[in-house]
Amino acid sequence: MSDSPANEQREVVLAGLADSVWKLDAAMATEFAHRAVAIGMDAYEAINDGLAKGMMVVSGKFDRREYFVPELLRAAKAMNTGIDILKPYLKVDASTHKGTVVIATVKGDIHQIGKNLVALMLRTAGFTVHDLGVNCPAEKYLGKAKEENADIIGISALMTTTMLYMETVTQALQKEGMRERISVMVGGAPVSEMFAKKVGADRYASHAAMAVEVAKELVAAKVE
Amino acid sequence: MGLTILPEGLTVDVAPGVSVLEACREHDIDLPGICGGRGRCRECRVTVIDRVVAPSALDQSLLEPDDIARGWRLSCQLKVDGDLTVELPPVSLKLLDPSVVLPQLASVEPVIQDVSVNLPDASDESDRPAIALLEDALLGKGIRLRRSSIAALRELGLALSRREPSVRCLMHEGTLLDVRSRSSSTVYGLAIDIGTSTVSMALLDLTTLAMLSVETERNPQGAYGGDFMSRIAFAMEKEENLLELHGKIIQRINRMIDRLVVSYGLARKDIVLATVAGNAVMHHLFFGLDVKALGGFPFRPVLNELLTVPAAELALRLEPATPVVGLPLISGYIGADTVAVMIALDLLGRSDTVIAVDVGTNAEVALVHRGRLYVCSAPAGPAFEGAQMACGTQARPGAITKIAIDDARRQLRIDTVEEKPPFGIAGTGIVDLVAELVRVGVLDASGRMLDTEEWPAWLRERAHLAGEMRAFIVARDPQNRPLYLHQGDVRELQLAKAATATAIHYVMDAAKVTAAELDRVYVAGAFGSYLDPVSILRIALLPEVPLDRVEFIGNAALAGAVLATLSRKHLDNAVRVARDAVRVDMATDESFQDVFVDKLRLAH
Repeated sequence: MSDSPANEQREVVLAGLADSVWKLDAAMATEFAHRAVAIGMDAYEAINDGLAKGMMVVSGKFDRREYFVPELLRAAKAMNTGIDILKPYLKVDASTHKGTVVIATVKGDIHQIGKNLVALMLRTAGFTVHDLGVNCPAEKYLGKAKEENADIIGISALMTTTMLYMETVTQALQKEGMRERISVMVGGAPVSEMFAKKVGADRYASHAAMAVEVAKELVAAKVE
Repeated sequence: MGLTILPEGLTVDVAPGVSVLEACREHDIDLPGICGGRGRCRECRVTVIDRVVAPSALDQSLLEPDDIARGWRLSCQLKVDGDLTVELPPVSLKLLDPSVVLPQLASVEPVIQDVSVNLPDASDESDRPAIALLEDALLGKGIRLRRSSIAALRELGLALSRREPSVRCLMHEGTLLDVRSRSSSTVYGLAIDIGTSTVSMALLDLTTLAMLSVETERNPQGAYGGDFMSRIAFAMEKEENLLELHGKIIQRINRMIDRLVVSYGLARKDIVLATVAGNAVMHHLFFGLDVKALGGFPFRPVLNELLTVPAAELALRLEPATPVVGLPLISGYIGADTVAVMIALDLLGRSDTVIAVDVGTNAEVALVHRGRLYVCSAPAGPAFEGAQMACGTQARPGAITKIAIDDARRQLRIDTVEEKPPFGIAGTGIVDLVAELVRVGVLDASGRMLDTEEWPAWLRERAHLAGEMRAFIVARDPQNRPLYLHQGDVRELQLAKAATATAIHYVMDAAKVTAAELDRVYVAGAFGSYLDPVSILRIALLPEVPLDRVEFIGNAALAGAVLATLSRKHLDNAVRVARDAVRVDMATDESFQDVFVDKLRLAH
């Protein structure tokens, strides 16, 4: 099977899609997304086994800090360019929807870049993301999570003074009886695994690419 | 239990379960705790001398096995459970000693008025109080007396009964501070800059306008965290903590005053004025004002105006009525230190276009263009101080402070503090190294460390793998362990650099000024003085200007405090600057993220 010409072409297109993402090349993503459509490849497969594979490579490079913020933005741009072309061909039942996340930077903190990156990466990975911006009070997190029936609340803080507010959010969830239904993930420069536990969060993610993996695991654990 | 601390040789009594870091804090022994004891740095490490103590989990994750074997432990984790002897890491203030550049002051209207007045003849038979007689005499010289200190009233009474024909009056803002005989000695002033890491104090002769000395010590609050946010976090834990931080800085300043009094043979009452500059958090902690609201958006200070308090209310060891003046703040995140820098550079009086950048954990930027002032600040984090870098360190003996790659001779040239064998890389060394690695092609302008095969051949033997990250070996320590810069360190530096460059971008944008229009770029800050101008231009920390337009101005905040102690005009300028400067807010700007990402690049 693997040496049939059709199969060979399929492999080339999937590799091209993956490469376009980690090579940060939106034009290349456009080209290979069109080729995927032209050969009648299943759009879900093109995204999952092509573009998303490339994003895994990006994630590994980010872990080693070989890639940094600008590269992450360009990779997401390449991936989204490909997804936009493939989207109209997605079968309705083969939804790529992974889960719903409400995300914001805590009250008292107006740092946005890290949180924006996490939101972008989650969207790129197929999550529905409601970004409430910065300086977000606990009630606002809870209100939106309730309204959207969110799976996850993502909390960002970039200062040692504001990260304490994460506990206010988890306690409010507890008080409202929402803690069982909604997972909490936290991140930001001063936050650590140890601190995440202390404030009653489920998980900590040290960077945006890792946040996607953590979010997927949290949703999977919920399904079980 | 007895905790003996070397090299001081001091033994203190410590309750069981208290950490060595906490014990040092309590006994005013300088031990840096960059992360505030949260287990995120290694700066508080000590060497356990007299026995083997089991390493903590954090020791094992943050220290090398060799270091653990030779007794290194993190003092924040090391609990005293019996008599213990530890040795502190060597500390050097050499690199932190700031230079202070002052303009020429020929004659000034002084802040402290020092006037001689004739007292009415004692044969005057009226029963008018002595103070009313003096009030008239002062009014005759155009000076209105509003209040008197109790010390001044005591002296006045004595002078009258001694039938002194005339006396010397020391006045501050209508307050009579002291009455003394005409032949009395010189009077002095103190200018104090309270930085997050260090405290500098200048002793000034108010008569001759001379600066007699500058002393620098560590800010003892360093044991509660290297950056001011961790001090606020400490103050948030419980209310007493605010008083503890306030007490620490007062205690340190008192110690510095005591030393000046002894070494210059001063009478304490001859110090008649003190002026304090510092960022908003250091300012508030010095005055004992609550800092919690400075810990987050919208960063509300308790007050931002000029604040004058008698020394007694601050428990400073000066004459009780001696005025202690806190320079005004611009906002909760642009402090009195920035105001002081602006008066030192006389930004209000200039017709050219200049920018002043304070490089440090908090970047502060001021720009003047067509007579208007613009200011902006950005948290840059501790990367410039070498913190949170794999082999980074503060500027202690053996810290690598300068690095140059000599292509022709195929060698790396390094300078270390006190020329001691290298043991870590200081922030200035990291800046140099990153600039050099971009130049020779080990890093690209995006900050990525290239594959070793792409490096110049003669440098390839310096390639190293730190965990999974690529790294470049700068030198080896005496134990032959590599001192390296890894990919993650480069990224930390890029974040600090981008924060600073973004603040510069926004003030220039607000004033609609291009790099070509900048007549001068001043770099301030105790740390700033040791940066290499070529390096910071090359990594695009500063706007693209010719090298000769960059000027280092040392501790300009202290210089500003000195001027505000000596001269009424400069003090008034501080008030004007704080009131009139345009605050540029960048965090809420729509383009912020794009600008910041662009400024991560290590080239123009």
